[in-house]
Amino acid sequence: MDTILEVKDLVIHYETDDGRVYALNGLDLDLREGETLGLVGETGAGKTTLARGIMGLVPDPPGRIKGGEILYRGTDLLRCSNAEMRHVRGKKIAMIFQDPMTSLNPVTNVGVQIAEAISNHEHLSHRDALVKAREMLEQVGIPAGRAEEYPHQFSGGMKQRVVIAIALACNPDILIADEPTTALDVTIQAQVLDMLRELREKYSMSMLLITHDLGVVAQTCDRVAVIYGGEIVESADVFSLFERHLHPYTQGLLNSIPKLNEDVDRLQPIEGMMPDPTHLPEGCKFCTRCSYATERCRTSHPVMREVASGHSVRCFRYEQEERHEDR
Amino acid sequence: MAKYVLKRLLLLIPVLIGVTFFVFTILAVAPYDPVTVILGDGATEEAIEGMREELGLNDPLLVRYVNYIWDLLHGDFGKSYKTRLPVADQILRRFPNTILLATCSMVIAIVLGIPLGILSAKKQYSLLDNVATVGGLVSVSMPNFWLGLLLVILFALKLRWLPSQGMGEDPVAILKSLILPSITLGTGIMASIMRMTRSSVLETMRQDYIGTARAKGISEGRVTVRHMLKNALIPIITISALQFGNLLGGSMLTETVFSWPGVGRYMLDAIKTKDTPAIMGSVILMSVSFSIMNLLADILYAFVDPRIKSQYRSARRKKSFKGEGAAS
Amino acid sequence: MNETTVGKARSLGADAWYRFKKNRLAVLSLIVLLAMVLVAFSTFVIDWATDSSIYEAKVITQDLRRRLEPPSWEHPFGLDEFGRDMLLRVIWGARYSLFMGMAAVFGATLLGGFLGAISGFYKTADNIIMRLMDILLAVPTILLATAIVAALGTSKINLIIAILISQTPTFARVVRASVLTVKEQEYIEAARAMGASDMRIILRHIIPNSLSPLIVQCTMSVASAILSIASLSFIGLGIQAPMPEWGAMLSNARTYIRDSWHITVIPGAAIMVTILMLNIIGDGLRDALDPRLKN
Repeated sequence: MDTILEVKDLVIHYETDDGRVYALNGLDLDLREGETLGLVGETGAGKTTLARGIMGLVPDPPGRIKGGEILYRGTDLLRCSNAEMRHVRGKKIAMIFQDPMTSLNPVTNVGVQIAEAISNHEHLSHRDALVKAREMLEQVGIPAGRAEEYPHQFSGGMKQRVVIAIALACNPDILIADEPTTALDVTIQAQVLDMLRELREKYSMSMLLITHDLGVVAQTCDRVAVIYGGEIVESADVFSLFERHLHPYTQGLLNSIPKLNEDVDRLQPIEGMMPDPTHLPEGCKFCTRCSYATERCRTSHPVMREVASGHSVRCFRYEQEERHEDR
Repeated sequence: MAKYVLKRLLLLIPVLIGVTFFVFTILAVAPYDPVTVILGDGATEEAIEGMREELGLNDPLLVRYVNYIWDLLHGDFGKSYKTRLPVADQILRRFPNTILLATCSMVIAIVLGIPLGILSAKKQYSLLDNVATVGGLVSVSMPNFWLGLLLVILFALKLRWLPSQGMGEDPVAILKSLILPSITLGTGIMASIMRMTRSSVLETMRQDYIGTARAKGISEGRVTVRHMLKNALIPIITISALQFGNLLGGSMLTETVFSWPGVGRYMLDAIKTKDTPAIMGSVILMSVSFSIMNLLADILYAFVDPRIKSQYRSARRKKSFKGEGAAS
Repeated sequence: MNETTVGKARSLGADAWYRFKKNRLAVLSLIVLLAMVLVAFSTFVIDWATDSSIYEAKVITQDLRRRLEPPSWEHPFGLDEFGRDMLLRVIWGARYSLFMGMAAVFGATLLGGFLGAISGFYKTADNIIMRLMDILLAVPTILLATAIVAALGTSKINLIIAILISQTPTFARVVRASVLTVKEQEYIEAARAMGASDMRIILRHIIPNSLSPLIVQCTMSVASAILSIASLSFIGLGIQAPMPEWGAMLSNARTYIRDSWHITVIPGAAIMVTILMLNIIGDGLRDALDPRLKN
């Protein structure tokens, strides 16, 4: 499979009154044509910053892109002009935001909000765009007759469907979904995820699904990348990750969700808190919470190392293991 | 829609009754005798008593109030104590001048205030924003009568470009005489509108739906106008309507500074001569204008924000359901 | 993303003060304003110590030979239309604007706060009080104050009363709004469920939570009260000459507008600077007390 989107060594900081927030610190990620990549991590790990970075929508100020490349089919999006980025947004790469309650403009009807994206990229008249907007609504399971209604007349799940319709309106190559189901009821979550999966296949898009829910990952994704402290700490295809989770943080994540086939009295949460993003540890970002942490972890920064085909991890422990195998 | 407007108009009635009653009462209990105002100090006992009877001052307060309202509803604002001329004629002759001045000031304030506020918000912390912010603060802090005097010194006395007093006769002269008072009255309001636009746009800029709009790849101009401004409009409308009150109040001072023949100056003259019917008439007229302005703002909300519109739509729907329930 | 960094244990007040201190312009304004208050206060002390002899000799006594003298090293603000030192008159005039403005706003805060708290808390009272406030709000503020002064007659007390009444509805609305918001919060429900009395809820929860908007409103209202005092004096309904009130000084200056500019510029600038300081402090307080409004 070809790589459609490649993020290389991306560094994004926020300059705030309370100091510099190190949101992304040399993040690498690649998304392949036609796959769904799950990006997993807790709040504050830099997931949303990455999504906004790819879209060229990091708020500046306070956000600053300090370095790196975002290659979409070989073109560096960070070097694109604003006008060029406008042709990418919505048309090539579309995004679904986290909270459907607030991601629709409350004073414009939903039909117009979808049509706006279409008439902008497809050079259709306003009227034709509206017709297509109605079709899109039907696609996401909303009667076309509701196109003239306003966001406040829709439920949360319906709103998220409208947001999806906006994102898919111009048939983009890549869909970035930033926690698309977090704000929804559990029953609605499954519906929306199913629909996303179906539409992804139908439109043959690649999808970057951002979530903190490993269950969603297992259901939906082909590959997974685990993000911590603004960098990827482990990446693998879904099966090998759930089979053999190597990084202590990934292990912690998996231990903190209940399993059906094991009888555990108590779930094991990960000790401690995310480190203050204005003062990240010098060495391994996870060393403050890791039970295996050594002096080396605190002082030097581990690199990503491929331990099996397609399975990489950023941890000194597997450096040794690998050497062991080598002998 | 019509029903909503009608309802709001009806709600205006108790407020106006309250306003008239309040103003009537405080002026009625005022520690000066209107009869001495009319007749002077040297009047005889009989003349005073006769005048009291004529003005109905011997009746209880409530009776006098009801009589006043009754006359008011027939377009009779009473006669001026000083000139013995009908107050209604006097006020209505001056009212268009005040409206002309108020409209010009408001146009200046809105036409400059909203775009400046948007620019300032979009380029937050830029030089333009800093200049606009400081300029706005200085402008809202400036007493408008002082600004008027400064403008007179500069443009009328030093540069001799514009007249400093009165209102011109022919259209060109009117326009020329309108410039300084309009700037005087409009500057502070412009600054208020600009400040409100800035903070309101800054607020909407941070909303998630602006991210959604940008993610569609539409132009920044469209994002600004269709998404930011449209959502930021409600507080801007509110402040504009509220500032209209300041405009009417400020017109009293501005009209004094520029000897503009409007209601504000008429009222001030009336206050100085303790001419109660003239004071009453002016205050009521200004309050009615202000209330109507606020009503217009409320109606505008419904056009801008569908959530407000659907509020009274659903209220009506509920009512019609009730009607059906009663019929079946 | 920033929540993690702000989460240090600091009380709301200390936190707000910390943010306020970062706003250099607001801090500077606060210092200037405090200096003005101090100077205005010291004029009382001087009057008391010298039995008003300095006031009489320098601020009131006329010297017609030197009238309208422009600013010089000897008299940095120049002399007024009766040959009196403008700097001293401006200094002695600060007391009217500052202390009468504060007194009126203090009264309006108490009265309006009380009415607002009652109507936010008790539904039956709400209708009556708020309709009354609507009536007062239907008259533009300065017109209302003018009408009241016109009826009561011009004196310092009446001026304060007029401004107090015209400011009351604003405070009633601010307090009512925050009471209503706080009342909806779940912790109030919780406190009620635990059997807390109305009084306790008002004292422990509602007042502390209404404080931020009230403080900001107070600052802004003092500014508008000072403007009202100056306006009323300008049109001859407030403080009367020869007392050195800034609006009254402007009113007199109007007669000499063709002869001399400094007697017009200086008292107005004094009014503007005072109001400007208050507005900057008010803005700074609002940003500090409600950080959501700032980036």
